[in-house]
Amino acid sequence: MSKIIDIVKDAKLTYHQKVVALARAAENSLEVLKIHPEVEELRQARIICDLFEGNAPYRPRYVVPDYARFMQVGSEFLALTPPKTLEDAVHSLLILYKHVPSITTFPVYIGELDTLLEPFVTDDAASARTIKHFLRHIDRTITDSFCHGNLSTRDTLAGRLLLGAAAELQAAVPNLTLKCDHNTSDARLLQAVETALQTAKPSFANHAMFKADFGEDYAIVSCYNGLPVGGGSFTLVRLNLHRLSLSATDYAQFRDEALPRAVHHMLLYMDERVRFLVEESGFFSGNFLVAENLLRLERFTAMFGVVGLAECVNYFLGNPADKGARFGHSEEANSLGIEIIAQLAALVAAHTNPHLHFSQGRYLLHAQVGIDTDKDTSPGCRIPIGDEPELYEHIMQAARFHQYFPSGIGDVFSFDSTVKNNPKFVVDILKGAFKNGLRYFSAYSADSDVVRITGYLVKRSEMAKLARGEQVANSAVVLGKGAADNLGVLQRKIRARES
Amino acid sequence: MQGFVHKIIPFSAVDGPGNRTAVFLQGCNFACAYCHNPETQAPYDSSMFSAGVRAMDHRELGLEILKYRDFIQGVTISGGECTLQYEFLLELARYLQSFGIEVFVDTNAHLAPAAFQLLGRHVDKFIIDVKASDEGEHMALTGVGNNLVLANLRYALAEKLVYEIRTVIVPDVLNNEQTVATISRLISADQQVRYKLIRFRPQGVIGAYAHLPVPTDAYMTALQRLAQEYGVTQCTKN
Repeated sequence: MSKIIDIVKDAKLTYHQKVVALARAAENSLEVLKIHPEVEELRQARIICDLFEGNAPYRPRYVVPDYARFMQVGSEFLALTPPKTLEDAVHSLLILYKHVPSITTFPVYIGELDTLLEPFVTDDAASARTIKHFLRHIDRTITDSFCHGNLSTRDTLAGRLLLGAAAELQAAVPNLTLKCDHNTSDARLLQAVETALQTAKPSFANHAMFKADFGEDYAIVSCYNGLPVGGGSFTLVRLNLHRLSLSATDYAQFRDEALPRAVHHMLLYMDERVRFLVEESGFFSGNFLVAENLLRLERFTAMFGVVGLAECVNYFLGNPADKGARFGHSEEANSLGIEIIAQLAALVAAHTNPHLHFSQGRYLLHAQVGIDTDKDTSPGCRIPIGDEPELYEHIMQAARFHQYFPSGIGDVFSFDSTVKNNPKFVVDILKGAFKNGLRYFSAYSADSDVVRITGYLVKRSEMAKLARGEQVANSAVVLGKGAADNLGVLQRKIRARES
Repeated sequence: MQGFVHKIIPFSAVDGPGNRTAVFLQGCNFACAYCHNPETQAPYDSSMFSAGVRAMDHRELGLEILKYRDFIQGVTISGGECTLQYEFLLELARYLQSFGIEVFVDTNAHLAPAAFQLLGRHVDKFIIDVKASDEGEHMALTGVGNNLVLANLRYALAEKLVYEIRTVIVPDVLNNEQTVATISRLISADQQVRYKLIRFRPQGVIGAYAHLPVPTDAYMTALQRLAQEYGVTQCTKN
């Protein structure tokens, strides 16, 4: 019980953060999952990590409601009729957001916002004001950076108003992603890049790639996770390739024994989490989102996460002192990385779970962005900060990995503030990156207060507050500060003119 | 056709619109007292190989640039002074244009008008450095007069071949106001032309100018206002 009283008395936690921590402590006092001893060993060795999902899964980790349906039919449970005006629309959405479950209590997906609001906006100051209030309301009440809104590929007035308001508000929440394809106009890309250089969002999703994996009805949620709309992901557990490599005697043993065994046990662990959630927790029989068809069991999948590929590869190459021989630079290192990921993808695809309806029983690969306590473990397949090559080489290297990760992978680039004078520089790079197979691209200006940590956004000014021992409303600030301290995420290579 | 290449920058945000591959050819015909990369002034021959200068065929260089074509709006060929290697420059520009690549040439415009005009038929736009509008001042700063520069500038403006004009601002030594006013008057007929005022910085400078002060924000702003008063709509400063 000492942990409970510690939570109660913690001066750095807000009231709501205490409530969440207490609920988490209660859930974690249970032992309802049947965990194989070897899985437990891998968990204790931090080779497998369930990313604080809790010991008794009673809601899917990533819930992706069908907001378009909600706008059409309203909600009986919430006694809401379909909206007729912009005021109706934003209030209906804000109400629904407060009822969307997640492991943080906050929604990780809030809709393709411009598509939802386009029927109601007009090109005037009143619409602009309402949109701004809508976004501010989200930032101040959904106090968690894993809340994500999407913008469509099309040129919409609502999209322009949302981007304009985001630039003005300089808020960490919601995270935003612009879906881009050949139909996305240069004007829209330019406005989005200008906004990103002011407030580190939106990020950019390669619509053609996601569409090929999910069809039209997909969403980018939480950090950058691609998932089906009207469903989501039951769970996300991750495999730490770096830690696993340290436990192997050599690469052959890693390839032939350690990796297959770890993947096997992680899949069993994930199966057990999914089983409890679907078969025992009662979520799919009791939640109104399911009853009202805003969530459908057949639209669910689950995510197999991976971190630390760079360090794993470098380890097997003898941790070369010469940067040119390391992951991100040498062909030998990059090819070994591809070999490992291709093997991993094949191992994961060979396993099926009947509950993963959306993905024909398969778990989807996800390049996990890391947790605040990670050290010497880079997110997913990213090149370590400090080792980044020039932009062209960086993008071409990263793109080789992106095809393997339908449920999310992405790279973050920090640009010199002078690039604000020439935002088309970033648009050109973005287009080239997508043409060459990059799935997801994030940019921010090195002088921005809102910064992208690994996948989520945090304000530097709030990390400073936390360092002074003050409370901050956004529960992700503590994670951002940890990642800044442990992974040096604020030291990314700054881009403008590269030789 | 072989040329001597000082450096290739695959992605640049500061050498024209959008993302551009910037190619710096070796050698310069000016010896500007404020030059911040004087190593590019040295001759363009095999004596410079030890300093990293590469001899490249225009096709070889062109193919290296084409590697980046998905990512760039165009190419900016600069220097040193790229027009010193005139035949190579012309071949490279023609080669790149044959692949639909937009070609900008960043030049001091100090070359024979006939040659400049021929080059103008094979590039999309020029970026032109104007060091000083006064002949004597130009001579003192660069070692040569500015007759050709101003004649070629007028031609390029008339033919809508100018993307940007650049002037380095050095307080106390140069009559910056006079140069800014003269250039601004020339530009004002074409609202599309940008005028960029570049703050002198002593980093890398050798010789008499190495100890000169950096212009203040207030001074740069006053010059920018002066350009605007003469009708330049796109005047920037750094």
